Amino acid sequence: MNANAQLEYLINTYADTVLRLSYSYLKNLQDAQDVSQTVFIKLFTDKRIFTSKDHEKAFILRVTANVCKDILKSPWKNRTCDIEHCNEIVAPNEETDNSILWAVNQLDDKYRTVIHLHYYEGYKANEISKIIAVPTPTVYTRLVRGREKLKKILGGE
Amino acid sequence: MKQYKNEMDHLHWTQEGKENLIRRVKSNVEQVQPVRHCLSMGKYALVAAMICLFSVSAYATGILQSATDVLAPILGGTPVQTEIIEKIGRPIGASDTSDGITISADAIIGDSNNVCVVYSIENEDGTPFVLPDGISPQDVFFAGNSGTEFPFTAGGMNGSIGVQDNNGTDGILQIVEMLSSEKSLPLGKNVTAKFSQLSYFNTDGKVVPLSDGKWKLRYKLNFENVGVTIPVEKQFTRDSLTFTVNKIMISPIAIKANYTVIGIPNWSNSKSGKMPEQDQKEMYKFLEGIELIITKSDGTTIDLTESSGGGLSPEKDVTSGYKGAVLDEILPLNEIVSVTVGDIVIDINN
Repeated sequence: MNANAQLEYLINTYADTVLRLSYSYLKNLQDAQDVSQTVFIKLFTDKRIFTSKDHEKAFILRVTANVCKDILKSPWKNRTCDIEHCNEIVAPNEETDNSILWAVNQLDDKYRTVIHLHYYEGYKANEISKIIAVPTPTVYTRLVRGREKLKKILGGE
Repeated sequence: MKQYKNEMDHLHWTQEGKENLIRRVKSNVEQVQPVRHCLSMGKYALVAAMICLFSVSAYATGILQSATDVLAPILGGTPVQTEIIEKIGRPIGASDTSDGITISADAIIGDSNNVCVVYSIENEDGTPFVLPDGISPQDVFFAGNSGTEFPFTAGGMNGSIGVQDNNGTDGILQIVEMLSSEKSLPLGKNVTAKFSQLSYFNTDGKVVPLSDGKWKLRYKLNFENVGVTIPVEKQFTRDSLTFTVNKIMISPIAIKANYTVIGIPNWSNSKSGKMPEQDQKEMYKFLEGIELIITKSDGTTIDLTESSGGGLSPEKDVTSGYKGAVLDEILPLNEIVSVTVGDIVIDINN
C-alpha cells in the first residue's frame, strides 16, 4: 500500500475513533478536529508499520492521547468553530442534562478518558495503562471514582 | 453505559469531512517535505553553516570512535562477532547540540533491509549526564517523533529506539535504533535523524520532560552489506491456505522472509471498538502464526515467530507478506544451519 492509500485507509478506519477520544479529553469539537489533523499528519510522516490491527489501533490512540495532553497544557484551547469546517462532523446530542454524555463531560478529563476507553472502546485497565501512560492501579482507581461521580451527577442512578 | 456508547456513536465525521481531512493532511505534509528532500548537498551545507552561526543548536563533527568499540557492547563482543563488526560496521561521527545536550551518531551496521545505529547522549559541557534518582536508562525515551527518516520510496518500516548505558561510569548514555524496511535501504545516501522531547517515565509511570532540545543529525547510510538473498519458491499449506516462500534474506544482523499467499484476509471492516476476534484470527493465519526460526550449528534455535515484525499487502486474490527481525546479537552466517519459514526448512550453508 503506498503512502497516500495508507493515509486514506487510516482516516477512513480511525478518524471517528480519534475524534471521539479527542472529544472525551477536550470536550470541544473544534479542538477534537484539530487533534485529528495533527494525529494523521504524524501517522502520515511516520514510517511505522504494524504487525496487527490491535497494535495499530492502540498506537493511534496513544498518539491521540499525547496530542490531547499537549493541548490541555496549552492556553490556546477552547476556540470557536471555524465555519468552513463546522459541517465536517456530526456532533453528539449532549445538551440535555439527563444525557450520559453530558454527565461524563462534567467529570475531570482524567476520569472521562478512562471511562471512554473502557466503556466505548472496550479496553481493559492494563491496556488503557499503556495508551495513556499511567499505572494500571491508577486506571482502576479512576474507573471506580469516575463511576461514583457519575452516579452522583445523575442523581444516584 | 450502553447509553453513553449510543450517544457517542452520534459523534462522527461526515464522508465529506473525511475527504477534506485527507486533503488537509496531504497538503500540510507536502508543504514540509520538499524542503527536506530537494535541497542539494551544497545547500544543505550552507543551511547547516547558517544554523551554526545563528542558533544554539548546531551541527558539529564528533570525535570518531571505532565502530567495534561502539557496537560490540550492544551486538556482542566475542572475537568472531568483533571480526564481523570490524568488517561491516562503520563509524559515523555526526552530532548536534541543543539545550546543553549533545547527541552523536557514533556507528552504524546493517544489510540491504535492516540497520542498527548507535548514538550517544552527553552533556555539552563534559559533566556526566545524570538521571534523577531511581530512574534507569531504560525509563528514558523521546516523546516526540524521533529516529532516522527515510523517503517514502523505502516502503513500510518497523523498528525500535531504546536507551541504555554501556558502561555505567562515563556519564554517557547510548541510544540504539534498529530499523527494518520493506524495500531496500538507500545505501550510500545521506539520511537525517531527528530527536525531540527527551523524557522519562517516573516511578508513578508519568511522563516527565528531561529536555526541550531538538536534535537533527545528517549522516551517510554507509556499511558493507554482507547479507545474502536465497531464492526459495517452495510451498506449504496451512489452514487451507497455500503459502509460497519466495525468498529469504539473511545477514549477521537480521533476517527477512518474503512470501505470497493464495487468498486474502477476510477483515471484518469494523471501524470502532477493539480489534474483532475475526481480524485477530486472520492476522494470525496470514502473518503472526507463520514460524520464523533460525537453527544454529550447535543445535540451538532462535525462534523469531512472535518477536518479528512484518506486513501484509493483499491485492486481488493474492496476499504478499514479509516477516523479519533484527537479531539481538551478531550471528556469523557460518553458524547458521537452516532457517524455517512456516513448514519450509531452508538449508543455509549448502
